Amino acid sequence: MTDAWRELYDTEYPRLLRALLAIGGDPDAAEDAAQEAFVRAHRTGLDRLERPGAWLLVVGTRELLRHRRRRRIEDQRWAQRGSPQPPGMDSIADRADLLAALRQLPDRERTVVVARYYYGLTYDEIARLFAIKSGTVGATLHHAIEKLRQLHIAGRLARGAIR
Amino acid sequence: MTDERDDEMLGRALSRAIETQDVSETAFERSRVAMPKPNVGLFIFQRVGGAAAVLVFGALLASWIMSRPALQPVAASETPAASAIAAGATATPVATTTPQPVAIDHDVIYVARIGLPPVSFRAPLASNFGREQRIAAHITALRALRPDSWPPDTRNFLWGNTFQGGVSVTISGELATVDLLLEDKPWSVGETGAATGILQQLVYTATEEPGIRAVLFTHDRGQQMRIGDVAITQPLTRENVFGYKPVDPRLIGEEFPLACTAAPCPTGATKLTASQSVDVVGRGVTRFTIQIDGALPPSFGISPLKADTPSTAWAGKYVLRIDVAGTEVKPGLELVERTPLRAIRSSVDGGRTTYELAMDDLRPWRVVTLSNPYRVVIDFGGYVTSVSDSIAVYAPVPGDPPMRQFAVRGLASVFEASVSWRLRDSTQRVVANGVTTASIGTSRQWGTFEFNVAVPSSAAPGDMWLEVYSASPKDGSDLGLVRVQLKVG
Repeated sequence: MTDAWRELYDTEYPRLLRALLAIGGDPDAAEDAAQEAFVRAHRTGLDRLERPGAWLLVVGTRELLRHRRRRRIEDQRWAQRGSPQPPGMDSIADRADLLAALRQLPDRERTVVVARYYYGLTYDEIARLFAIKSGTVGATLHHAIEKLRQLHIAGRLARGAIR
Repeated sequence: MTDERDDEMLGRALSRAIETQDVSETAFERSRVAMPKPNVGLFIFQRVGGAAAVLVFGALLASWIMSRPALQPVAASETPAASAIAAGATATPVATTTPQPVAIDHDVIYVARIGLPPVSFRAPLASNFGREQRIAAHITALRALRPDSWPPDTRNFLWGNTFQGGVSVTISGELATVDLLLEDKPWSVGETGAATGILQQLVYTATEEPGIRAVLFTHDRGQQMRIGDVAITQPLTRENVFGYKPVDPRLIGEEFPLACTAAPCPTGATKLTASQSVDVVGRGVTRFTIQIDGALPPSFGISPLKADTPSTAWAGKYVLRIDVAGTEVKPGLELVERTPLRAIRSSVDGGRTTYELAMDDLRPWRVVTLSNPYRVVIDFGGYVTSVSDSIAVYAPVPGDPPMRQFAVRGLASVFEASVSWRLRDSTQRVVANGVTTASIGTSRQWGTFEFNVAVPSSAAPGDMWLEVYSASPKDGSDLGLVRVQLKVG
């Protein structure tokens, strides 16, 4: 194992793990998918990856979503667990609300949002990497953000109501 | 324009939220890509036969429980120093105002120890699971126990291995049949001790379910399972896989005499004080001690019993019952939860005390009586290759750092208390030998022995084997031979 792989791992793995956790909502599945993405990258060869970070996100996301349909029970459990919100910590609560809202989006919208805002990919890159028509990336993103905003506001209101 | 700026602000907030998620990162060294053979860790949720519900539910819940922070070792092997502290803390029941559990915790899975039987690791499930679901979930949980969660000195050979989920379980009486989804791929057993470890982890974890004493493992809808060179052709109990020579299964009790060995002999009411330790007197050795203050009772009795029935829910697979005349100072139930000793229950009736030790399996035990103060000591297990039916070497053990002088400690039950030893070098040439005397000879009780070994200066550093045995009074052959592999510096 060369230093290049260690460097790639150290650079990309933390970001990939968080992205997949945000998309899937399950730490174990995120870990499995992230590790699998690196194994596949290793098989493919570092010199054949044009943008390793984006490549890992695409493969990891695909891996994550491939098993997602079979895991609805777990999703329900995840939702039931909720997020711990220490009293008086609005910023943390806000983040938890945002993540909770993100999890209510469809898989595709959630992936596009993470790719755009967490990975900073352009519309064209998202379209090319995730095989989405270039014209629909913006619309998908706008639609997702609008729903996020509504869900986020609703979450904050609900949180305020139960205090 | 305003909308776009709002979108970007929300996007940045979301990005921060994602970045600040609490995640458990796997270090590069433990990542799949850094392994010699990157294992394709597919998270498989395929259905197997008619047990689909059990399979999927078990896999899902196992994954869920492994993400919970409540996972904690309950029987981890520890360094002697650490375990000494733990033993001190648990030797005496501590008074508390919170309700105490009244039965042992079966929500555990098992991790492997090289050269020793596996030890339990807490993996709680939801309380409304059925028996099959519990077995399926616990087996599935094994594959998800990550290296950073392994207790010290243990390994989880199912991590990163072929099995990635998919369990079908059926139960008939005391037998569970467990079918694993392996997609016809072989187990990875390249690591030292992997095949034995996998087998032990699977059997111990499946039979943790109350009432299940044996388990038959198959794969991919009833095919015969093979783990390395081991073909699983029949149901296995814990005693089939723990590595020791099996104890007599007839479970016949014994009465042991007690005698005052030095005047003045103690008098007065007999008070008994029990304590226990795990991994303190020797690696893998569990010790139960009853200290006797006051007049010595003439004898005590020990009898092993099959447990694990609905009426013994507090207990493990077996109960070792000890009856002594005298009064235990703190009778009651103490949950120990350290493999193989799960709990100690003591009760006093008519001036006699009965101790019941809830045990995970029927591994070999040895009875010793010590004086000053008088104590009844029962030792269980030990390093598998260091224990025979008449010799048990507690120190040194394989894996000790290289040395040229060392003390040998252990127990023996041998003819005329004569314990022989020799040291062989890597060519099997004897470079040193000797004879020592145990505290007592052939008896139903064992005697203690201790002697020092100095490796001759002519012996080159490297692997050596310490052999401890007794010479047969008939023909001088080795009886009860144990071989301890050591490094000489």
